[in-house]
Amino acid sequence: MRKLLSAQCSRLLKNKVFWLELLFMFGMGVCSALMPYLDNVRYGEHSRVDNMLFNYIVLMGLCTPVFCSLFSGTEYSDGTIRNKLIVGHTRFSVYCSSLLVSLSASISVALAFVLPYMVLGFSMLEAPKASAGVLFFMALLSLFVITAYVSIFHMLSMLITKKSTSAVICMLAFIVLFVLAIVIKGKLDAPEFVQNYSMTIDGIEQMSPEPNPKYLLPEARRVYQFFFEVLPSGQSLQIAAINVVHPYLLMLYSAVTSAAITVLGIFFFKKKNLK
Amino acid sequence: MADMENFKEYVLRTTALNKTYGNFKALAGLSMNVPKGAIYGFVGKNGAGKTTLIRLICGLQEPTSGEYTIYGKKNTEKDVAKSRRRMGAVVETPSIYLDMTAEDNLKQQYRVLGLPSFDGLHDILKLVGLENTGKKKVRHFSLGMRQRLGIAIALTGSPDFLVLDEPANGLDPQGIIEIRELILKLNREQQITILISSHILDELSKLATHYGFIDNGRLVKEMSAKELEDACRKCVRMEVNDTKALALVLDKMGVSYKIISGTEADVYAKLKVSDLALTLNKANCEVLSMQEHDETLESYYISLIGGGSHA
Repeated sequence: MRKLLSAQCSRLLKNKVFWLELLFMFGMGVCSALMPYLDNVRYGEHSRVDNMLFNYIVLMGLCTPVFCSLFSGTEYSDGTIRNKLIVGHTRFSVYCSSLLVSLSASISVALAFVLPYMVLGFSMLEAPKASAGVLFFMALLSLFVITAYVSIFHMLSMLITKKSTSAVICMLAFIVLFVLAIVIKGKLDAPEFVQNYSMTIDGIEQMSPEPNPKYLLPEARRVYQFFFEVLPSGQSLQIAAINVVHPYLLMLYSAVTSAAITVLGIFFFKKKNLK
Repeated sequence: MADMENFKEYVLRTTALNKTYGNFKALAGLSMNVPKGAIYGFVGKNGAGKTTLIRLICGLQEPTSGEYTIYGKKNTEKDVAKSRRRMGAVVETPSIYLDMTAEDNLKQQYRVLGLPSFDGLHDILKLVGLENTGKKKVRHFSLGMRQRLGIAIALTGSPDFLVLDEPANGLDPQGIIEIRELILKLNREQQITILISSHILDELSKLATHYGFIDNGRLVKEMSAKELEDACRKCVRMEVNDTKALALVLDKMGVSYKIISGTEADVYAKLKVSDLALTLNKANCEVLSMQEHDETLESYYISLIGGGSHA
């Protein structure tokens, strides 16, 4: 495994997609700090550092499928995965080494956002509202979410041998996960009462609160809340807003998702007929 | 088969190997033996099971049933990984990173093998004639250069057993000659055992010391090049009006022959044509035609397999 990790790491450093993602996230980090700063100066707003600190976790949902499908997909498209197996490396080692390198790459990409944002943000924006402990916990949570994302997209990339198909499926998976999270969030955020406007015959407008038919009943709310917390995309939205109801549960869900997906991936990869 | 048995040590042995994909049986009880030091030519038409066998022995796929041993280690044993460490292979297309240089590709394989340094890297590049490719990306290499780089990667770590699947596929005549010379060099100078599958039978006959003929997932015949040579003796096909008289004359001359029909016979000897014609004339046997007949690997293959659509 150590040998494979060394080989994969050196390949990572030559990988164009990895460097492009680093550059993209670095740019996003800089922009995310500069834009609220300009608004503070121009309009007298009071943007805080923690407002956009965890926005990178939403972007990671976009970066990981692109990276995983192209990095692992190259092993299939160029046929180089065979070089590892022919000389006696086990499929377990091949899968795990690739997963670990993909995870390291994704964490580096996330740091490419966080570091410039923090340097610029702490010097130009207002102090964070959340405590250092909360910020640290959010950072830890985001690490778990990145791991879950990487596990999912890495599994897809290792099981789909065609690089282009794997890239498309990974992107579609991300879109599905993200849309699901937004729909669920919309349902959960629906207010319990809506204002009902009525007009009397005298032409007087009246406003009275009425129960919102879209408001989720407790049982349905529990189900929606569960999926919002299980889905990595749902977790991302919560972390980005620093609004996490069950932080430890989120961590557990991410850990279980990552482990289950990896075990499943290794199981099917071992059975796969390679050409 | 006598020559095969003389080889005590086998690099690869397969026993009743089966591989099925759904309802399709790609290998049906294939048993073969690759002796140490041999260049084993693996011959069969498209879909006969050559690449399937190579995929199995390279660990890319698992057999449905049956087993194989590499350097005495069964495929089911954990230690087979150590035996695989002594192997190099080019399966179908060369396994190389297209966005890297030849040197970087080799360095990658050095790392995969966990070699402590890049010593010998330039020797391998020189051996395959790619020492001057510099910073040129593999994407811009010709097919022949890619094939040679694939072999170079397979040679990393000094393997004792090299598996080449259709190494001459798509190459121009110059490329084919280069690959042939490289294979012979590796076998003669470095004593590397080579299993090579090919469609180009004429080319294979210039290399192989042993042959395995595969058809419908089964090994039809396994023989040494010497045995094949004996089976493909040069002969003269004679057309006469009376093969009985011809047989009498040839018996008296002590020449071996084979009667094909009432008017045709194959004579396995260099003949003085004028003397033979005179002798036959005296025996009232008229020579109608004579044609030198040279049975090749191709004709042997056709007669063995039954002349399918592809060789």
